[in-house]
Amino acid sequence: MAGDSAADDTLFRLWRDGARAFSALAEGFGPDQAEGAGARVARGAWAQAGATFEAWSRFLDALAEAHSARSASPGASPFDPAGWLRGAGEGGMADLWRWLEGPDFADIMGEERRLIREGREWVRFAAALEQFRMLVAEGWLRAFRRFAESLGADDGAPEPPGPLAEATGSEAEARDAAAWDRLVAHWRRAADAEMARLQTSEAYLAAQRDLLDAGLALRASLRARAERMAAFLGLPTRAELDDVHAELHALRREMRALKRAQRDASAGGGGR
Amino acid sequence: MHPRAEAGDELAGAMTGGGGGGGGGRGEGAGPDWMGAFRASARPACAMIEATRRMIALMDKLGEARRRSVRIAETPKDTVWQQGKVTLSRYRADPAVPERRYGPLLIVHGLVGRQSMTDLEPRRSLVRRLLAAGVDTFVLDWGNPTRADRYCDMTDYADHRLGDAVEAALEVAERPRAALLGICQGGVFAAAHAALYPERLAALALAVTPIDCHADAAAPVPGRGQLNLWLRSLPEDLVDRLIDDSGMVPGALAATVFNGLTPGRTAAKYTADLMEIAGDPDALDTFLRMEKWLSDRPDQPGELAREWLVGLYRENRLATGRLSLDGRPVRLENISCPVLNIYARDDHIVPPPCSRALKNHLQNVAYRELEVPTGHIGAFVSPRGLDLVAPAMTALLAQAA
Repeated sequence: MAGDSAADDTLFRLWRDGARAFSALAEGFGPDQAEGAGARVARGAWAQAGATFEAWSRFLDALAEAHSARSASPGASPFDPAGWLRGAGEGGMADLWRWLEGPDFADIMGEERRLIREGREWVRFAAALEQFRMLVAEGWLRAFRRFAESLGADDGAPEPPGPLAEATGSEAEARDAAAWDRLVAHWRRAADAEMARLQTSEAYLAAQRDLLDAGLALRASLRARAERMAAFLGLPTRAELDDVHAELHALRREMRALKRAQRDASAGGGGR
Repeated sequence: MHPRAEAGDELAGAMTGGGGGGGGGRGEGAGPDWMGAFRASARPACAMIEATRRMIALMDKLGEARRRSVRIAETPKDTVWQQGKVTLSRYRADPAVPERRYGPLLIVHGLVGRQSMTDLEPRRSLVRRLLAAGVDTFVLDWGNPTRADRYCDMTDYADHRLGDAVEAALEVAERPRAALLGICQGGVFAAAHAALYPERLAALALAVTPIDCHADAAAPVPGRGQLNLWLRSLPEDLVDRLIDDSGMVPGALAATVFNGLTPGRTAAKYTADLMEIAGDPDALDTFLRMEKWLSDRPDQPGELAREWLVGLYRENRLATGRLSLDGRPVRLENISCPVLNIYARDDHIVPPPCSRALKNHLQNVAYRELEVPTGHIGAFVSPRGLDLVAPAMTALLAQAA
């Protein structure tokens, strides 16, 4: 495409500028220049380093912009962290994830791929946990704000003084204690109201879903590993124990039904 | 606007002190008198001294409490039936009221909390009040399910085990029919049992019981019913995966979820609230007893949890007649005994509409609703809740006698 070609030209030019600046920086520390000691050399080196940094920055910015333009969906660009964990888009991490999610081969690379997947599940869980925690932290901050705002506007009825208020001795101290207790009660109400708003928001529900999903995926990976290890070592596995308990439960049901049938038959029918 | 962007704007407003909805001016002298008194009397040094004094008092009291063990559920009772981990106990009659005039009444809790809640302490004991009214009272204890119980489902609890316990109580009490008081999840067990075996029950009382788990969706109330919303918003397979993963729903997970429903209250509980009651021995004792009850939360067997969370909360099977126990459909309209339906006005776990929906399913039975001005647990552990619940229970049993 013409647009892509022009962008590539620009990128190449910027990369070349950066390379030249770096080359000049390297020359600045060459043996000839090194002979001139003192502030002049230091100033020159500093200026060249600055130019190098700026040139490479321009290149990297343009590179990121070009990739974002080509990968319109969020997370598709390799510069968007949201894309690092999923197989959307093209190139880079996406290709790696697609390969990992692809069909396993029978005899090679199986354990390695499983290990990488477990690592990925852990990263996904950690990311979902941080996302959830961030939402909750924002909720708390909003709760503090509402509380602060309401201090001047609250019309809630004051509650009777707490039991300690009478025990504090002087009237002023009792008043302080009662006011403190009411302040706490007021904060509690304000916080619960704000957090209830948060907990019913779409953002919260989505973060909660993601966290649960990621946590279960991670646990499933770890459990599968534990089962493989137990099988390898000849130890009983959780799945085997569950099978035993399922059989036992079914047998108890059958025995109960038989006992009931026997009892009903001897009693002439009826009953439970 | 994206919710996160909106949140960011609000935070930016908060940081700069800008407006952002709500609140309003904070002029000098505005607000209620108690706030004015607080600001006017804000003497930091005195406040610090007072806080320190409370802290020391609290440490003293907690130290005393450690030395003497915290006891709950002390009303004398005898185990009259046992099946595996499940036990049925009969409370000894109140010495002042030796005649067992009413009953037998079986108190049926769920597996979300232990049965000791209805006998938390002598001053806050529904059991003691019932005994004082002459009610022959039994309590069912489901025990502590382990992973070995993961395949136990609602048929095991609401049909088989509850049925066997009812039979045992009838035999011990030498009566033809029993009454059930089902609480929360235990209320669903009791209602299902009453629908399947109407001939066995003389009366049915349900308390804070979710009958129609979608009844709150039409008019959601802020701060209530988040649990319902959360479960409805989860993808269909996620709850299944959760149960398959752990085999059980851990009690600790349930506790975390419940604490998360009221984060402000939870944050204040071990700080400001505890400091507030530090100088009140009775209040501190009650607090510690409540803590003991809360910390003893059993795990839910996986298959029971699946029917509870997916079948009832997500798919609303009880209210829509699609719940089956042991292959038999549970039809609430088959309930034939007098019914008392207790709901808590400020219940944030089971919104009142979810409980009150029961009346839409009953046909030609004496039905009474009782609103208790408390939260979910307060109906059974607060004196104002007990003042209403205990007499209503006695009246129901007298009606059924």
